[in-house]
Amino acid sequence: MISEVLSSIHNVEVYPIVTMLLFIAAFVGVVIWTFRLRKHEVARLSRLPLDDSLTSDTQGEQTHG
Amino acid sequence: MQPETFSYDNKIVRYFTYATIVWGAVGMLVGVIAAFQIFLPAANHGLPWLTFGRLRPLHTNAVIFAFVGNGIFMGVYYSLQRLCKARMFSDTLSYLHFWGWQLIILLAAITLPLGLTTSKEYAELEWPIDILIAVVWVIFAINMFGTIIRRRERHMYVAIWFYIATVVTVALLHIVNSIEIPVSLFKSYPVYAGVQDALVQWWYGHNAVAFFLTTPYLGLMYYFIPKMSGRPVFSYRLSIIHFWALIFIYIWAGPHHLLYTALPDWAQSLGTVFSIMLIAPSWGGMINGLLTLRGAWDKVREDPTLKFMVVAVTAYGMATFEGPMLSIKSVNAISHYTSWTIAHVHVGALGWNGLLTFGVLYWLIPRLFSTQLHSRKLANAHFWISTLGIVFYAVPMYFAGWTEGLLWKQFNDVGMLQYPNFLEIVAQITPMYAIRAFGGTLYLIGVFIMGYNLIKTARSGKAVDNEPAQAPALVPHVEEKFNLKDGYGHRWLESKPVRFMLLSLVAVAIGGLVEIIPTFLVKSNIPTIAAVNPYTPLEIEGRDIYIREGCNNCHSQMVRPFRSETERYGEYSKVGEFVYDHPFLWGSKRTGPDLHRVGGKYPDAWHYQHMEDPTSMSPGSIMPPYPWLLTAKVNTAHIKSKISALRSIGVPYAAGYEEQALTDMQQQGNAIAKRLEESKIVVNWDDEIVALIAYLQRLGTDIKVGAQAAP
Repeated sequence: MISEVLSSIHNVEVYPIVTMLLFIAAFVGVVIWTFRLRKHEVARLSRLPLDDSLTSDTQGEQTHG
Repeated sequence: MQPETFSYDNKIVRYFTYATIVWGAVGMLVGVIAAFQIFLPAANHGLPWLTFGRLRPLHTNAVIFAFVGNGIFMGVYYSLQRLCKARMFSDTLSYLHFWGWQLIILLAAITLPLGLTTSKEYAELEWPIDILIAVVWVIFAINMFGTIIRRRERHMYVAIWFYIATVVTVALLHIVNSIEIPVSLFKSYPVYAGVQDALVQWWYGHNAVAFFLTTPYLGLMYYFIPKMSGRPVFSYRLSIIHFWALIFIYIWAGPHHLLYTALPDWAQSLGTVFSIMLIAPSWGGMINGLLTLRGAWDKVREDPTLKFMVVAVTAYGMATFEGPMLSIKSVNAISHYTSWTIAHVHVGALGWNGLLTFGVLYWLIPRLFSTQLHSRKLANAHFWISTLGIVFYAVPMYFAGWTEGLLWKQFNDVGMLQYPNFLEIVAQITPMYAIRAFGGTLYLIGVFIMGYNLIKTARSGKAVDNEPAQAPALVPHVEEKFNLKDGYGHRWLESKPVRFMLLSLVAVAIGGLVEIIPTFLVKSNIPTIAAVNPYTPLEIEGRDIYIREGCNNCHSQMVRPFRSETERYGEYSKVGEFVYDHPFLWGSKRTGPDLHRVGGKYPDAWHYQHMEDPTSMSPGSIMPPYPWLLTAKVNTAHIKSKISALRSIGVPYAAGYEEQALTDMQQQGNAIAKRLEESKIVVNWDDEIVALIAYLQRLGTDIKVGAQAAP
């Protein structure tokens, strides 16, 4: 019965294939993209939350390493 | 470059911290009450608004939307301002957002115990509140994007990406899953029916986990763990891959809640495959969070906030390993409908969401009040008691889940069910329910310890409403061309928040569309079962009572195609049987037995007595009694609008049937009253119990050709 439902959708077998290709393309794209970022740039970006140099961050407990 | 002077709005952050603590305590208290009710039916007190069926949605909504919701806003409002080096876009919007959200929670706390519910899990709130949620969410979105657009730091840090994905996707999920036809001010029917309703509901339901309980909290993790440890995130590159992979894959996972149901097989498989793939980005995130602490583990020994973070991220890792495992069909065959699912979500909710929230609170409150934490010792005590609470919660629920899953399926030597009496298995796990309630109580005690500690902390300091800050203005620069040279590709994307938002939307929409559209195409192809007919007016009223009382929180209506289930319940459920079910009521837990084939199984008098006192018919039953159904009258005023609302969404009632409905209702009610009279039970045709009996006796009988309801 469920297989009847399946066969009644036109070309249902393309859905998973298209999906997989879409995902692989997107994923590979993101990975390539990521590794093209410059090293010093990445280092700066990852420090953004810590960069309170110009703001008054009251220290409740000493947490800065 | 002359720095600009501005200030951060700390008052709004403080407001959200208060709301987080208060609603956390309330939501968990309701959870503890429900945990006791499940093995002590007397704890329902025979009061309609205190029964488990109504409190369970109150608990889930309070924890998800009130506790974690306010926790999200607390963390976002604090970190977004600092990452953007800008005050929130509009103070007015900030406070509209705050009070609007609290109003929604208050309305939920009033309407859910009154039984005003749509029955769809985590989307139980009725249509006027749904509209209010959408409005408040849009206010939050405008406030957030306004802040991002006015930022003084060009690069959007990864936490902000997670916030953007959250805002966009939650809006999409909420709107699509809440499309419903109002019948009255507090009653509506979803436009989807049966299998489609189930698919949309769980596309929403699982992504509530993904985009409400996970992505915003990952954003908080990426901001607060570096803050607490004073170290940058382990790998920024990994965080980028983590983000895109997570949002793209998560959106597909919904159907793993519907394995072995009447959902088409291909959709089930899609859900399974993507759920298994989810391990990769989830663990990438966990590893990124934990490795941020490399070389700083000595601080974890000292600092209670980091202890909470470490266990929270570890619990995240455990829950996101277990989820994919539960999505494997052969595992799910055992786990589905059991307490195993409850253990799984609580490792996530208590471990990941709860502990991370506590960690952030212990870190934030001293800073918001320019003071020191009142007592590190109490914070450590809270850490240990809550961690122990999680253990005492999860372990017995795992045992209970495996017990249920395996005993339901057990056959004896001659091929008969070893435990044909469902209650025999319930009796096995009742002690587990009791230990779970103890674990939940421990966890709740921890929250009160935290409340005390944080109040003392706040009193020892002074709140600063506007924290002064300085940052150079953003230099407008020439629009970068989209090119992959020099690694500018990502910069092109992330320096434009709106562009980024649209791309996240595309990433999540792909999954939604590919999964949902074919199932809607099935509509015309669902094998129609000629014998399946719309519900009669009395059955509609009975079904709405079933929804009001939250019966679907303990009873499923979906017999899976296993011999162990067809032996116990009867023929397995067919997709064509649910075409007129607005909403679907398949349920997701069997605290009590499945009801899809209950129609005709017992005489009317059995149901009457069972609702009055379940133990009279089922000795040892843990179901609460429903005495008020015997005296309350069905409100017949709405039947006309119910019929026309259902017709407008595709249920084939004949034109003008509204005029006939009340007469038919009376006729069917009188027939049941007459049958009950033979058992010396006196009722009126419009008593609620009569409508409920009509519905229960109808359940699953359409395909039994020539079947007669039991006298």
